[in-house]
Amino acid sequence: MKIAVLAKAVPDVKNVRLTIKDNDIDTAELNFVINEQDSYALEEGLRLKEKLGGEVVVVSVGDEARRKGITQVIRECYAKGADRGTMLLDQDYSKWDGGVRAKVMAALLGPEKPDVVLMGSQSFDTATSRMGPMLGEAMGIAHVSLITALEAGGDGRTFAVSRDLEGGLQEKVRVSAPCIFTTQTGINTPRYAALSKIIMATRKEIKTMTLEDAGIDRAELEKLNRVRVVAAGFPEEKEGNALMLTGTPEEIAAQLVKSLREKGLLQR
Amino acid sequence: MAILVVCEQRQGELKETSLEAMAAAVSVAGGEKVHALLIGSGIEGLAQAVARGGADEVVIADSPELTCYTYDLYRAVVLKAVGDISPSVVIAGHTSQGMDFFPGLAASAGMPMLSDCVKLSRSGDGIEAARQLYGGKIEVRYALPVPCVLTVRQGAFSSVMAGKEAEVRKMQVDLGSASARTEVTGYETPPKEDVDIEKAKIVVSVGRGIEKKENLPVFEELVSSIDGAVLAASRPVIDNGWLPKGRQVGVSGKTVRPKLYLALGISGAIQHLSGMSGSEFVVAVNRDKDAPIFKVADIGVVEDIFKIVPALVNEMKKR
Ligand SMILES: Cc1cc2nc3c(=O)[nH]c(=O)nc-3n(C[C@H](O)[C@H](O)[C@H](O)COP(=O)(O)OP(=O)(O)OC[C@H]3O[C@@H](n4cnc5c(N)ncnc54)[C@H](O)[C@@H]3O)c2cc1C
Repeated sequence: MKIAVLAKAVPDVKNVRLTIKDNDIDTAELNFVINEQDSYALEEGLRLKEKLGGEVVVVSVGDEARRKGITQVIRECYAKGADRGTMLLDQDYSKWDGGVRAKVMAALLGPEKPDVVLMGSQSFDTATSRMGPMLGEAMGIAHVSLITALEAGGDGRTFAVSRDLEGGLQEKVRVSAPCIFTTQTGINTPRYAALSKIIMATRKEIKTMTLEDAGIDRAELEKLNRVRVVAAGFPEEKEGNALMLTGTPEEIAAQLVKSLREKGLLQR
Repeated sequence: MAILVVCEQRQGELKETSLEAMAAAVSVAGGEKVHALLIGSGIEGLAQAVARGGADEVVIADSPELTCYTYDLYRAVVLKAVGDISPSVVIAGHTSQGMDFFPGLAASAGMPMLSDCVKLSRSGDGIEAARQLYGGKIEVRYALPVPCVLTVRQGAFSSVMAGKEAEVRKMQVDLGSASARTEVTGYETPPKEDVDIEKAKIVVSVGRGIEKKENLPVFEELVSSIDGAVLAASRPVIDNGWLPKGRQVGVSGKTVRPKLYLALGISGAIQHLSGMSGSEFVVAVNRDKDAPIFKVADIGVVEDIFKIVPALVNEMKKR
Protein backbone atom coordinates (compact mmCIF):
# COMPACT_ATOMS: atom_id res chain seq x y z
CA MET A 1 0.00 0.00 0.00
CA LYS A 2 1.18 3.50 -0.75
CA ILE A 3 0.97 5.91 2.17
CA ALA A 4 1.64 9.62 1.76
CA VAL A 5 2.36 11.78 4.78
CA LEU A 6 2.31 15.58 4.68
CA ALA A 7 4.97 17.03 6.94
CA LYS A 8 5.10 20.79 7.28
CA ALA A 9 8.09 22.74 8.55
CA VAL A 10 6.85 25.38 10.99
CA PRO A 11 8.78 28.01 12.95
CA ASP A 12 9.59 26.97 16.48
CA VAL A 13 8.29 29.84 18.62
CA LYS A 14 8.87 28.26 22.02
CA ASN A 15 10.44 30.74 24.42
CA VAL A 16 10.95 33.44 21.80
CA ARG A 17 9.61 36.96 21.60
CA LEU A 18 7.84 37.28 18.30
CA THR A 19 8.28 40.33 16.11
CA ILE A 20 6.24 41.29 13.08
CA LYS A 21 7.71 41.71 9.63
CA ASP A 22 5.94 41.94 6.26
CA ASN A 23 2.54 41.06 7.69
CA ASP A 24 3.79 37.88 9.32
CA ILE A 25 6.12 37.01 12.15
CA ASP A 26 9.78 37.57 11.47
CA THR A 27 11.21 34.08 11.01
CA ALA A 28 14.77 35.11 10.16
CA GLU A 29 16.13 34.00 13.53
CA LEU A 30 13.81 31.06 14.06
CA ASN A 31 14.37 27.34 13.60
CA PHE A 32 11.93 25.33 11.57
CA VAL A 33 10.71 22.07 13.03
CA ILE A 34 8.21 19.41 12.02
CA ASN A 35 4.64 20.50 12.75
CA GLU A 36 3.99 18.47 15.88
CA GLN A 37 0.61 17.24 14.68
CA ASP A 38 2.25 15.80 11.57
CA SER A 39 4.49 13.57 13.67
CA TYR A 40 1.32 11.76 14.80
CA ALA A 41 0.34 11.38 11.14
CA LEU A 42 3.76 9.97 10.28
CA GLU A 43 3.57 7.50 13.17
CA GLU A 44 0.15 6.32 11.99
CA GLY A 45 1.53 5.94 8.46
CA LEU A 46 4.52 3.93 9.66
CA ARG A 47 2.25 1.64 11.68
CA LEU A 48 0.05 1.04 8.63
CA LYS A 49 3.11 0.12 6.61
CA GLU A 50 4.38 -2.20 9.34
CA LYS A 51 1.02 -3.95 9.44
CA LEU A 52 0.16 -4.14 5.76
CA GLY A 53 3.41 -3.55 3.91
CA GLY A 54 4.07 -0.87 1.36
CA GLU A 55 5.77 2.44 1.27
CA VAL A 56 5.65 5.75 3.17
CA VAL A 57 6.27 8.84 1.09
CA VAL A 58 6.73 12.20 2.82
CA VAL A 59 5.90 15.46 1.05
CA SER A 60 6.50 19.01 2.18
CA VAL A 61 5.97 22.37 0.49
CA GLY A 62 7.61 25.68 1.32
CA ASP A 63 9.99 28.31 0.06
CA GLU A 64 13.75 28.70 -0.13
CA ALA A 65 13.87 30.13 3.39
CA ARG A 66 12.40 26.89 4.66
CA ARG A 67 14.68 24.59 2.62
CA LYS A 68 16.89 23.80 5.59
CA GLY A 69 13.93 23.26 7.88
CA ILE A 70 12.13 21.03 5.40
CA THR A 71 15.31 19.05 4.79
CA GLN A 72 15.56 18.40 8.52
CA VAL A 73 11.89 17.51 8.75
CA ILE A 74 12.17 14.96 5.94
CA ARG A 75 15.36 13.53 7.40
CA GLU A 76 13.60 13.10 10.72
CA CYS A 77 10.86 11.19 8.88
CA TYR A 78 13.51 9.06 7.13
CA ALA A 79 15.15 8.30 10.46
CA LYS A 80 11.81 7.05 11.76
CA GLY A 81 11.18 4.85 8.76
CA ALA A 82 9.81 6.85 5.82
CA ASP A 83 10.95 5.51 2.45
CA ARG A 84 10.99 8.54 0.19
CA GLY A 85 10.70 12.28 0.53
CA THR A 86 9.82 15.11 -1.84
CA MET A 87 9.87 18.83 -1.28
CA LEU A 88 8.47 21.52 -3.51
CA LEU A 89 9.90 25.00 -3.06
CA ASP A 90 8.42 28.16 -4.51
CA GLN A 91 9.10 31.82 -3.79
CA ASP A 92 5.37 32.61 -3.60
CA TYR A 93 4.64 29.95 -0.96
CA SER A 94 4.07 32.30 1.95
CA LYS A 95 1.53 34.29 -0.05
CA TRP A 96 -0.52 31.27 -1.04
CA ASP A 97 -3.93 30.81 0.49
CA GLY A 98 -5.09 27.38 1.66
CA GLY A 99 -6.92 26.61 -1.59
CA VAL A 100 -3.73 27.20 -3.56
CA ARG A 101 -1.65 25.05 -1.24
CA ALA A 102 -4.15 22.21 -1.59
CA LYS A 103 -3.94 22.42 -5.40
CA VAL A 104 -0.16 22.31 -5.29
CA MET A 105 -0.23 19.36 -2.93
CA ALA A 106 -2.75 17.56 -5.16
CA ALA A 107 -0.48 18.05 -8.18
CA LEU A 108 2.44 16.64 -6.22
CA LEU A 109 0.52 13.64 -4.91
CA GLY A 110 -1.55 12.87 -7.99
CA PRO A 111 1.13 10.85 -9.83
CA GLU A 112 1.91 8.93 -6.62
CA LYS A 113 -1.63 7.57 -6.48
CA PRO A 114 -1.53 7.05 -2.72
CA ASP A 115 -4.00 4.70 -1.05
CA VAL A 116 -3.92 6.73 2.13
CA VAL A 117 -2.87 10.32 2.75
CA LEU A 118 -2.15 11.34 6.35
CA MET A 119 -1.45 14.73 7.92
CA GLY A 120 -1.92 16.47 11.24
CA SER A 121 -5.35 17.99 11.77
CA GLN A 122 -3.83 21.45 11.86
CA SER A 123 -0.47 23.13 11.73
CA PHE A 124 0.83 25.10 14.65
CA ASP A 125 1.51 28.29 12.69
CA THR A 126 -1.78 29.02 10.92
CA ALA A 127 -4.08 26.35 12.42
CA THR A 128 -6.71 26.66 9.70
CA SER A 129 -7.42 22.91 9.41
CA ARG A 130 -8.16 23.41 5.71
CA MET A 131 -5.61 21.20 3.97
CA GLY A 132 -7.19 17.76 4.49
CA PRO A 133 -10.69 18.48 3.21
CA MET A 134 -9.47 20.83 0.47
CA LEU A 135 -6.97 18.22 -0.70
CA GLY A 136 -9.82 15.71 -0.75
CA GLU A 137 -11.72 17.94 -3.15
CA ALA A 138 -8.64 18.62 -5.27
CA MET A 139 -7.80 14.91 -5.55
CA GLY A 140 -11.38 13.74 -5.74
CA ILE A 141 -11.06 11.37 -2.78
CA ALA A 142 -12.80 11.08 0.59
CA HIS A 143 -11.44 12.59 3.79
CA VAL A 144 -12.04 12.10 7.50
CA SER A 145 -10.56 14.65 9.85
CA LEU A 146 -9.47 14.69 13.49
CA ILE A 147 -9.12 10.93 13.83
CA THR A 148 -8.24 9.48 17.22
CA ALA A 149 -8.11 5.82 16.16
CA LEU A 150 -7.48 4.03 12.88
CA GLU A 151 -8.13 0.39 12.23
CA ALA A 152 -7.36 -1.00 8.81
CA GLY A 153 -9.03 -4.04 7.36
CA GLY A 154 -6.66 -6.86 6.34
CA ASP A 155 -6.89 -5.88 2.69
CA GLY A 156 -5.79 -2.33 3.44
CA ARG A 157 -8.83 -0.99 1.59
CA THR A 158 -11.35 -0.40 4.36
CA PHE A 159 -10.89 1.59 7.52
CA ALA A 160 -12.80 2.02 10.75
CA VAL A 161 -11.84 5.27 12.44
CA SER A 162 -12.93 7.42 15.37
CA ARG A 163 -13.23 11.18 15.05
CA ASP A 164 -12.87 13.62 17.91
CA LEU A 165 -16.02 15.65 18.51
CA GLU A 166 -16.63 18.13 21.30
CA GLY A 167 -16.66 17.05 24.94
CA GLY A 168 -14.75 13.83 24.35
CA LEU A 169 -17.50 12.36 22.16
CA GLN A 170 -16.17 10.07 19.42
CA GLU A 171 -17.82 9.58 16.03
CA LYS A 172 -17.22 6.15 14.52
CA VAL A 173 -16.72 6.32 10.76
CA ARG A 174 -16.14 3.80 7.98
CA VAL A 175 -14.34 4.76 4.79
CA SER A 176 -12.49 3.04 1.94
CA ALA A 177 -9.22 3.75 0.17
CA PRO A 178 -8.15 5.95 -1.43
CA CYS A 179 -8.77 8.47 1.32
CA ILE A 180 -7.29 11.21 3.45
CA PHE A 181 -7.06 11.27 7.23
CA THR A 182 -6.09 14.16 9.44
CA THR A 183 -4.85 12.97 12.81
CA GLN A 184 -5.69 14.38 16.23
CA THR A 185 -2.95 14.49 18.88
CA GLY A 186 -2.87 11.46 21.15
CA ILE A 187 -3.90 8.99 18.41
CA ASN A 188 -0.57 7.28 19.11
CA THR A 189 2.77 7.93 20.78
CA PRO A 190 5.18 8.99 18.05
CA ARG A 191 8.42 7.01 18.12
CA TYR A 192 11.85 8.51 18.62
CA ALA A 193 14.47 8.16 15.93
CA ALA A 194 17.64 6.31 16.83
CA LEU A 195 20.80 8.41 16.55
CA SER A 196 22.37 5.99 14.06
CA LYS A 197 19.33 6.30 11.83
CA ILE A 198 19.44 10.09 12.06
CA ILE A 199 23.00 10.01 10.81
CA MET A 200 22.10 7.60 8.02
CA ALA A 201 19.21 9.82 7.01
CA THR A 202 21.54 12.67 6.12
CA ARG A 203 22.84 10.58 3.26
CA LYS A 204 19.45 9.75 1.84
CA GLU A 205 18.28 11.71 -1.16
CA ILE A 206 15.37 14.13 -1.00
CA LYS A 207 13.66 14.92 -4.29
CA THR A 208 13.30 18.66 -4.85
CA MET A 209 10.73 20.00 -7.26
CA THR A 210 9.45 23.28 -8.63
CA LEU A 211 5.94 24.26 -9.69
CA GLU A 212 7.00 23.74 -13.28
CA ASP A 213 8.26 20.20 -12.53
CA ALA A 214 4.87 19.43 -11.02
CA GLY A 215 3.20 20.73 -14.17
CA ILE A 216 1.38 23.53 -12.37
CA ASP A 217 0.38 26.68 -14.21
CA ARG A 218 1.29 29.67 -12.06
CA ALA A 219 -1.37 31.90 -13.62
CA GLU A 220 -4.08 29.34 -12.86
CA LEU A 221 -2.89 29.16 -9.26
CA GLU A 222 -2.95 32.92 -8.89
CA LYS A 223 -6.65 32.91 -9.81
CA LEU A 224 -7.32 30.75 -6.77
CA ASN A 225 -5.34 33.02 -4.47
CA ARG A 226 -8.15 35.26 -3.32
CA VAL A 227 -7.54 35.76 0.38
CA ARG A 228 -5.22 38.66 1.10
CA VAL A 229 -3.48 39.57 4.33
CA VAL A 230 -4.34 43.11 5.41
CA ALA A 231 -2.22 43.35 8.54
CA ALA A 232 -0.60 41.23 11.23
CA GLY A 233 -0.18 42.28 14.84
CA PHE A 234 -0.55 41.23 18.42
CA PRO A 235 -4.04 40.54 19.75
CA GLU A 236 -5.56 43.49 21.61
CA GLU A 237 -5.10 43.54 25.34
CA LYS A 238 -8.37 42.93 27.11
CA GLU A 239 -9.45 45.37 29.79
CA GLY A 240 -8.75 44.24 33.35
CA ASN A 241 -5.34 42.74 32.70
CA ALA A 242 -4.00 40.19 35.12
CA LEU A 243 -2.30 41.47 38.24
CA MET A 244 1.28 40.26 37.75
CA LEU A 245 3.07 39.13 40.90
CA THR A 246 6.83 39.52 41.11
CA GLY A 247 9.53 38.70 43.63
CA THR A 248 11.24 35.55 44.83
CA PRO A 249 9.17 32.34 44.57
CA GLU A 250 8.60 32.53 48.36
CA GLU A 251 7.41 36.14 48.16
CA ILE A 252 5.15 35.35 45.23
CA ALA A 253 3.68 32.33 47.01
CA ALA A 254 3.01 34.38 50.14
CA GLN A 255 1.35 37.20 48.17
CA LEU A 256 -0.72 34.77 46.16
CA VAL A 257 -2.01 32.76 49.13
CA LYS A 258 -2.75 35.97 51.05
CA SER A 259 -4.71 37.50 48.24
CA LEU A 260 -6.65 34.29 47.50
CA ARG A 261 -7.55 34.01 51.19
CA GLU A 262 -8.67 37.64 51.31
CA LYS A 263 -10.91 37.00 48.35
CA GLY A 264 -12.36 33.98 50.12
CA LEU A 265 -11.13 31.65 47.37
CA LEU A 266 -9.24 29.36 49.72
CA GLN A 267 -11.08 27.76 52.58
CA ARG A 268 -8.19 28.03 54.94
CA MET B 1 -27.81 38.91 -2.02
CA ALA B 2 -28.15 37.08 1.24
CA ILE B 3 -26.24 35.37 4.01
CA LEU B 4 -26.45 31.63 4.59
CA VAL B 5 -25.81 30.24 8.04
CA VAL B 6 -25.30 26.49 8.13
CA CYS B 7 -26.43 25.23 11.53
CA GLU B 8 -25.11 22.14 13.23
CA GLN B 9 -27.16 19.63 15.17
CA ARG B 10 -26.36 16.15 16.32
CA GLN B 11 -28.99 13.68 17.47
CA GLY B 12 -31.54 16.48 17.61
CA GLU B 13 -29.44 18.83 19.70
CA LEU B 14 -28.59 22.21 18.24
CA LYS B 15 -25.01 23.39 18.74
CA GLU B 16 -24.75 26.70 20.56
CA THR B 17 -22.07 27.74 18.07
CA SER B 18 -24.73 27.78 15.35
CA LEU B 19 -26.43 30.65 17.14
CA GLU B 20 -23.10 32.41 17.51
CA ALA B 21 -22.55 31.99 13.77
CA MET B 22 -26.00 33.51 13.30
CA ALA B 23 -25.02 36.52 15.41
CA ALA B 24 -21.88 36.87 13.29
CA ALA B 25 -24.04 36.67 10.16
CA VAL B 26 -26.43 39.34 11.42
CA SER B 27 -23.45 41.59 12.21
CA VAL B 28 -22.24 41.53 8.59
CA ALA B 29 -25.65 41.23 6.91
CA GLY B 30 -26.05 44.97 6.37
CA GLY B 31 -29.65 44.57 5.26
CA GLU B 32 -29.16 41.30 3.44
CA LYS B 33 -31.54 38.53 4.45
CA VAL B 34 -30.15 35.88 6.78
CA HIS B 35 -31.12 32.32 5.88
CA ALA B 36 -30.40 29.50 8.28
CA LEU B 37 -30.03 25.95 6.98
CA LEU B 38 -30.75 23.01 9.26
CA ILE B 39 -29.73 19.57 8.03
CA GLY B 40 -30.74 16.26 9.55
CA SER B 41 -33.67 13.98 10.07
CA GLY B 42 -36.73 14.77 12.18
CA ILE B 43 -35.33 18.17 13.10
CA GLU B 44 -38.29 20.48 12.48
CA GLY B 45 -38.56 21.04 16.22
CA LEU B 46 -35.28 22.96 16.14
CA ALA B 47 -36.58 25.55 13.66
CA GLN B 48 -37.91 27.90 16.32
CA ALA B 49 -34.68 27.89 18.31
CA VAL B 50 -32.82 28.77 15.12
CA ALA B 51 -35.36 31.48 14.25
CA ARG B 52 -34.92 33.10 17.65
CA GLY B 53 -31.20 33.41 16.94
CA GLY B 54 -31.95 36.05 14.32
CA ALA B 55 -32.67 34.28 11.02
CA ASP B 56 -35.12 35.76 8.54
CA GLU B 57 -35.79 32.36 7.06
CA VAL B 58 -35.12 28.86 8.32
CA VAL B 59 -34.60 26.26 5.61
CA ILE B 60 -34.96 22.65 6.66
CA ALA B 61 -33.32 19.81 4.77
CA ASP B 62 -34.90 16.76 6.34
CA SER B 63 -34.24 13.25 5.15
CA PRO B 64 -33.43 9.92 6.80
CA GLU B 65 -30.19 9.81 4.80
CA LEU B 66 -29.09 13.00 6.52
CA THR B 67 -29.49 11.63 10.07
CA CYS B 68 -25.74 11.55 10.63
CA TYR B 69 -23.20 13.88 9.09
CA THR B 70 -21.51 12.70 5.95
CA TYR B 71 -19.37 15.09 3.97
CA ASP B 72 -20.77 14.05 0.61
CA LEU B 73 -24.51 14.23 1.31
CA TYR B 74 -24.26 17.38 3.41
CA ARG B 75 -22.21 18.97 0.65
CA ALA B 76 -24.89 18.10 -1.91
CA VAL B 77 -27.50 19.77 0.32
CA VAL B 78 -25.48 22.90 1.02
CA LEU B 79 -24.46 23.31 -2.63
CA LYS B 80 -28.17 23.12 -3.54
CA ALA B 81 -29.02 25.76 -0.94
CA VAL B 82 -26.16 27.93 -2.18
CA GLY B 83 -27.59 27.63 -5.69
CA ASP B 84 -31.08 28.61 -4.48
CA ILE B 85 -30.09 31.48 -2.23
CA SER B 86 -26.90 32.80 -3.92
CA PRO B 87 -25.41 33.95 -0.62
CA SER B 88 -22.63 36.51 -0.50
CA VAL B 89 -21.33 34.78 2.61
CA VAL B 90 -21.75 31.27 4.02
CA ILE B 91 -21.13 31.25 7.78
CA ALA B 92 -20.89 28.39 10.27
CA GLY B 93 -19.15 27.37 13.49
CA HIS B 94 -15.54 26.19 13.61
CA THR B 95 -16.43 22.93 15.34
CA SER B 96 -15.07 19.43 14.70
CA GLN B 97 -17.77 18.99 12.08
CA GLY B 98 -17.17 22.48 10.74
CA MET B 99 -13.48 21.69 10.33
CA ASP B 100 -14.33 18.56 8.39
CA PHE B 101 -16.95 20.13 6.17
CA PHE B 102 -16.44 23.77 5.16
CA PRO B 103 -12.94 23.78 3.62
CA GLY B 104 -14.02 21.12 1.13
CA LEU B 105 -17.38 22.75 0.55
CA ALA B 106 -15.66 26.04 -0.28
CA ALA B 107 -13.29 24.29 -2.66
CA SER B 108 -16.12 22.54 -4.45
CA ALA B 109 -18.21 25.75 -4.62
CA GLY B 110 -15.18 27.66 -5.91
CA MET B 111 -15.30 30.15 -3.02
CA PRO B 112 -12.41 31.40 -0.90
CA MET B 113 -12.59 30.29 2.71
CA LEU B 114 -11.24 31.24 6.13
CA SER B 115 -11.71 29.19 9.26
CA ASP B 116 -11.80 30.01 12.96
CA CYS B 117 -12.48 33.73 12.51
CA VAL B 118 -12.65 35.84 15.68
CA LYS B 119 -13.85 39.10 14.11
CA LEU B 120 -15.80 39.88 10.95
CA SER B 121 -16.79 43.08 9.21
CA ARG B 122 -17.85 44.39 5.84
CA SER B 123 -15.08 46.12 3.98
CA GLY B 124 -15.82 47.66 0.62
CA ASP B 125 -17.41 44.95 -1.49
CA GLY B 126 -15.90 42.17 0.53
CA ILE B 127 -15.32 40.88 4.02
CA GLU B 128 -12.56 41.57 6.47
CA ALA B 129 -11.91 38.75 8.91
CA ALA B 130 -9.45 38.39 11.78
CA ARG B 131 -8.01 35.14 13.03
CA GLN B 132 -5.30 34.12 15.44
CA LEU B 133 -2.03 32.40 14.57
CA TYR B 134 0.79 30.78 16.56
CA GLY B 135 -1.43 29.51 19.35
CA GLY B 136 -3.07 32.91 19.92
CA LYS B 137 0.09 35.01 20.02
CA ILE B 138 -0.54 36.80 16.71
CA GLU B 139 -3.70 38.18 15.15
CA VAL B 140 -3.96 38.63 11.39
CA ARG B 141 -6.62 40.51 9.43
CA TYR B 142 -7.56 39.21 6.00
CA ALA B 143 -9.60 40.57 3.11
CA LEU B 144 -11.83 38.21 1.15
CA PRO B 145 -14.00 38.87 -1.87
CA VAL B 146 -17.59 37.65 -1.84
CA PRO B 147 -18.98 35.10 -2.20
CA CYS B 148 -16.91 33.40 0.47
CA VAL B 149 -17.16 30.81 3.24
CA LEU B 150 -16.28 31.67 6.85
CA THR B 151 -16.28 29.64 10.03
CA VAL B 152 -16.25 31.41 13.38
CA ARG B 153 -14.43 30.48 16.56
CA GLN B 154 -16.62 28.99 19.26
CA GLY B 155 -17.42 31.66 21.82
CA ALA B 156 -16.06 34.57 19.75
CA PHE B 157 -19.52 35.94 18.94
CA SER B 158 -22.36 36.22 21.44
CA SER B 159 -25.61 34.67 20.36
CA VAL B 160 -28.61 36.96 20.53
CA MET B 161 -32.26 36.28 21.20
CA ALA B 162 -33.98 38.17 18.44
CA GLY B 163 -37.67 38.34 19.16
CA LYS B 164 -38.56 38.19 15.52
CA GLU B 165 -40.51 35.74 13.47
CA ALA B 166 -38.84 33.70 10.78
CA GLU B 167 -40.38 31.90 7.87
CA VAL B 168 -39.78 28.18 7.94
CA ARG B 169 -39.39 26.46 4.59
CA LYS B 170 -38.80 22.80 3.86
CA MET B 171 -36.22 22.24 1.22
CA GLN B 172 -36.77 19.65 -1.46
CA VAL B 173 -34.05 17.15 -0.66
CA ASP B 174 -33.07 15.40 -3.85
CA LEU B 175 -29.75 13.72 -3.31
CA GLY B 176 -29.90 12.36 -6.85
CA SER B 177 -26.66 10.67 -7.72
CA ALA B 178 -24.86 11.79 -4.55
CA SER B 179 -23.60 8.92 -2.48
CA ALA B 180 -21.66 9.06 0.74
CA ARG B 181 -18.10 7.74 0.78
CA THR B 182 -18.10 7.82 4.56
CA GLU B 183 -20.53 6.18 6.92
CA VAL B 184 -21.12 7.02 10.57
CA THR B 185 -21.57 3.76 12.46
CA GLY B 186 -22.10 5.21 15.92
CA TYR B 187 -20.95 7.44 18.71
CA GLU B 188 -18.92 6.66 21.77
CA THR B 189 -19.10 8.71 24.94
CA PRO B 190 -16.01 8.90 27.13
CA PRO B 191 -15.96 6.49 30.09
CA LYS B 192 -16.99 7.76 33.53
CA GLU B 193 -14.14 8.76 35.79
CA ASP B 194 -13.38 8.61 39.48
CA VAL B 195 -13.26 12.37 39.95
CA ASP B 196 -15.78 14.85 38.60
CA ILE B 197 -13.71 17.93 37.83
CA GLU B 198 -16.83 19.79 36.71
CA LYS B 199 -18.17 19.86 40.26
CA ALA B 200 -15.00 21.00 42.03
CA LYS B 201 -14.78 24.49 43.52
CA ILE B 202 -11.04 24.65 42.98
CA VAL B 203 -9.30 23.20 39.95
CA VAL B 204 -5.53 22.90 39.80
CA SER B 205 -4.74 22.32 36.15
CA VAL B 206 -1.38 21.24 34.78
CA GLY B 207 -0.08 21.51 31.21
CA ARG B 208 2.81 20.30 29.16
CA GLY B 209 5.03 22.46 31.35
CA ILE B 210 5.13 19.59 33.87
CA GLU B 211 7.35 17.79 31.33
CA LYS B 212 6.85 14.23 32.48
CA LYS B 213 4.64 11.93 34.46
CA GLU B 214 7.26 11.53 37.18
CA ASN B 215 6.75 15.21 38.05
CA LEU B 216 3.06 14.76 38.87
CA PRO B 217 3.61 14.26 42.65
CA VAL B 218 4.80 17.89 42.91
CA PHE B 219 1.38 19.03 41.76
CA GLU B 220 -0.55 16.34 43.59
CA GLU B 221 0.98 17.62 46.78
CA LEU B 222 -0.31 21.12 46.04
CA VAL B 223 -3.78 19.69 45.36
CA SER B 224 -3.83 17.84 48.67
CA SER B 225 -2.76 20.99 50.53
CA ILE B 226 -5.84 22.89 49.26
CA ASP B 227 -9.26 21.88 50.62
CA GLY B 228 -11.75 21.05 47.87
CA ALA B 229 -9.22 21.08 45.05
CA VAL B 230 -8.97 18.54 42.23
CA LEU B 231 -6.25 17.92 39.68
CA ALA B 232 -7.06 18.54 36.01
CA ALA B 233 -4.97 19.03 32.88
CA SER B 234 -4.62 20.27 29.33
CA ARG B 235 -4.87 17.86 26.43
CA PRO B 236 -1.18 16.96 25.93
CA VAL B 237 -1.06 15.63 29.51
CA ILE B 238 -3.94 13.31 28.63
CA ASP B 239 -2.53 12.43 25.19
CA ASN B 240 0.69 11.35 26.89
CA GLY B 241 -1.24 9.13 29.27
CA TRP B 242 -0.09 11.00 32.37
CA LEU B 243 -3.68 11.53 33.60
CA PRO B 244 -7.00 9.92 32.57
CA LYS B 245 -9.27 11.50 29.95
CA GLY B 246 -11.82 12.58 32.56
CA ARG B 247 -9.32 15.14 33.84
CA GLN B 248 -9.07 16.99 30.51
CA VAL B 249 -10.26 20.58 30.42
CA GLY B 250 -11.19 22.04 27.04
CA VAL B 251 -13.30 21.76 23.95
CA SER B 252 -12.67 18.05 23.52
CA GLY B 253 -12.72 17.45 27.26
CA LYS B 254 -14.70 19.00 30.08
CA THR B 255 -15.95 22.49 30.74
CA VAL B 256 -15.27 23.69 34.26
CA ARG B 257 -16.51 26.80 36.05
CA PRO B 258 -14.83 26.65 39.47
CA LYS B 259 -14.41 29.54 41.88
CA LEU B 260 -10.65 29.23 41.41
CA TYR B 261 -8.72 27.84 38.44
CA LEU B 262 -4.96 27.49 38.74
CA ALA B 263 -3.26 27.04 35.35
CA LEU B 264 0.26 25.69 35.76
CA GLY B 265 2.46 25.42 32.66
CA ILE B 266 -0.48 25.81 30.28
CA SER B 267 -0.06 28.10 27.24
CA GLY B 268 -3.75 28.96 26.87
CA ALA B 269 -4.66 27.65 23.41
CA ILE B 270 -8.25 28.45 22.47
CA GLN B 271 -9.30 24.80 22.75
CA HIS B 272 -8.19 24.89 26.36
CA LEU B 273 -9.58 28.35 27.16
CA SER B 274 -13.04 27.39 25.96
CA GLY B 275 -13.19 24.81 28.73
CA MET B 276 -12.16 27.09 31.60
CA SER B 277 -12.83 30.72 30.73
CA GLY B 278 -16.06 30.57 32.72
CA SER B 279 -14.02 30.17 35.92
CA GLU B 280 -14.66 32.91 38.48
CA PHE B 281 -11.01 33.56 39.25
CA VAL B 282 -7.98 32.43 37.26
CA VAL B 283 -4.37 32.27 38.42
CA ALA B 284 -1.76 31.45 35.75
CA VAL B 285 1.85 30.48 36.23
CA ASN B 286 3.92 30.29 33.05
CA ARG B 287 7.51 31.21 32.35
CA ASP B 288 6.61 32.72 28.96
CA LYS B 289 5.27 36.20 29.62
CA ASP B 290 3.57 36.24 26.19
CA ALA B 291 1.59 33.07 26.89
CA PRO B 292 -2.07 33.70 25.92
CA ILE B 293 -3.22 32.20 29.24
CA PHE B 294 -2.36 35.55 30.89
CA LYS B 295 -5.08 37.18 28.78
CA VAL B 296 -7.74 35.33 30.75
CA ALA B 297 -5.95 35.41 34.12
CA ASP B 298 -6.82 37.56 37.12
CA ILE B 299 -3.43 36.96 38.70
CA GLY B 300 -0.38 36.06 36.66
CA VAL B 301 3.09 34.86 37.61
CA VAL B 302 5.90 34.68 35.05
CA GLU B 303 8.05 32.01 36.66
CA ASP B 304 9.06 28.38 36.63
CA ILE B 305 6.25 26.19 38.01
CA PHE B 306 8.86 23.99 39.68
CA LYS B 307 9.89 26.97 41.81
CA ILE B 308 6.44 28.41 42.49
CA VAL B 309 4.55 25.21 43.28
CA PRO B 310 6.81 23.95 46.12
CA ALA B 311 6.80 27.50 47.57
CA LEU B 312 2.99 27.46 47.41
CA VAL B 313 2.85 24.11 49.20
CA ASN B 314 5.07 25.50 51.97
CA GLU B 315 2.94 28.60 52.26
CA MET B 316 -0.25 26.53 52.53
CA LYS B 317 1.31 24.47 55.29
CA LYS B 318 2.08 27.56 57.38
CA ARG B 319 -1.44 27.61 58.83
C1 LIG C 1 -9.83 19.86 17.72
C2 LIG C 1 -8.91 20.12 18.86
C3 LIG C 1 -9.37 19.93 20.13
C4 LIG C 1 -8.55 20.21 21.23
N1 LIG C 1 -9.05 20.06 22.48
C5 LIG C 1 -8.31 20.43 23.55
C6 LIG C 1 -8.85 20.35 24.88
O1 LIG C 1 -9.99 19.92 25.11
N2 LIG C 1 -8.06 20.77 25.91
C7 LIG C 1 -6.78 21.25 25.73
O2 LIG C 1 -6.14 21.62 26.72
N3 LIG C 1 -6.26 21.31 24.50
C8 LIG C 1 -6.98 20.90 23.40
N4 LIG C 1 -6.42 20.95 22.15
C9 LIG C 1 -4.98 21.23 22.02
C10 LIG C 1 -4.63 22.71 22.10
O3 LIG C 1 -4.68 23.26 20.81
C11 LIG C 1 -3.21 22.89 22.65
O4 LIG C 1 -2.31 22.18 21.87
C12 LIG C 1 -3.05 22.47 24.11
O5 LIG C 1 -4.07 23.05 24.91
C13 LIG C 1 -1.70 22.88 24.63
O6 LIG C 1 -1.53 22.39 25.94
P1 LIG C 1 -0.48 23.06 26.92
O7 LIG C 1 -0.82 24.48 27.12
O8 LIG C 1 -0.40 22.20 28.12
O9 LIG C 1 0.90 22.88 26.14
P2 LIG C 1 1.81 23.96 25.41
O10 LIG C 1 1.02 24.76 24.45
O11 LIG C 1 2.99 23.21 24.92
O12 LIG C 1 2.22 24.95 26.56
C14 LIG C 1 3.05 24.63 27.63
C15 LIG C 1 3.28 25.93 28.38
O13 LIG C 1 4.02 25.64 29.55
C16 LIG C 1 4.97 26.65 29.73
N5 LIG C 1 6.04 26.04 30.51
C17 LIG C 1 6.86 25.03 30.16
N6 LIG C 1 7.67 24.70 31.17
C18 LIG C 1 7.38 25.54 32.19
C19 LIG C 1 7.88 25.69 33.50
N7 LIG C 1 8.85 24.91 33.99
N8 LIG C 1 7.35 26.67 34.27
C20 LIG C 1 6.37 27.48 33.81
N9 LIG C 1 5.84 27.35 32.58
C21 LIG C 1 6.35 26.40 31.77
C22 LIG C 1 5.37 27.10 28.36
O14 LIG C 1 5.84 28.43 28.39
C23 LIG C 1 4.07 26.96 27.59
O15 LIG C 1 3.35 28.17 27.58
C24 LIG C 1 -7.23 20.67 21.03
C25 LIG C 1 -6.76 20.84 19.73
C26 LIG C 1 -7.58 20.57 18.65
C27 LIG C 1 -7.05 20.79 17.27
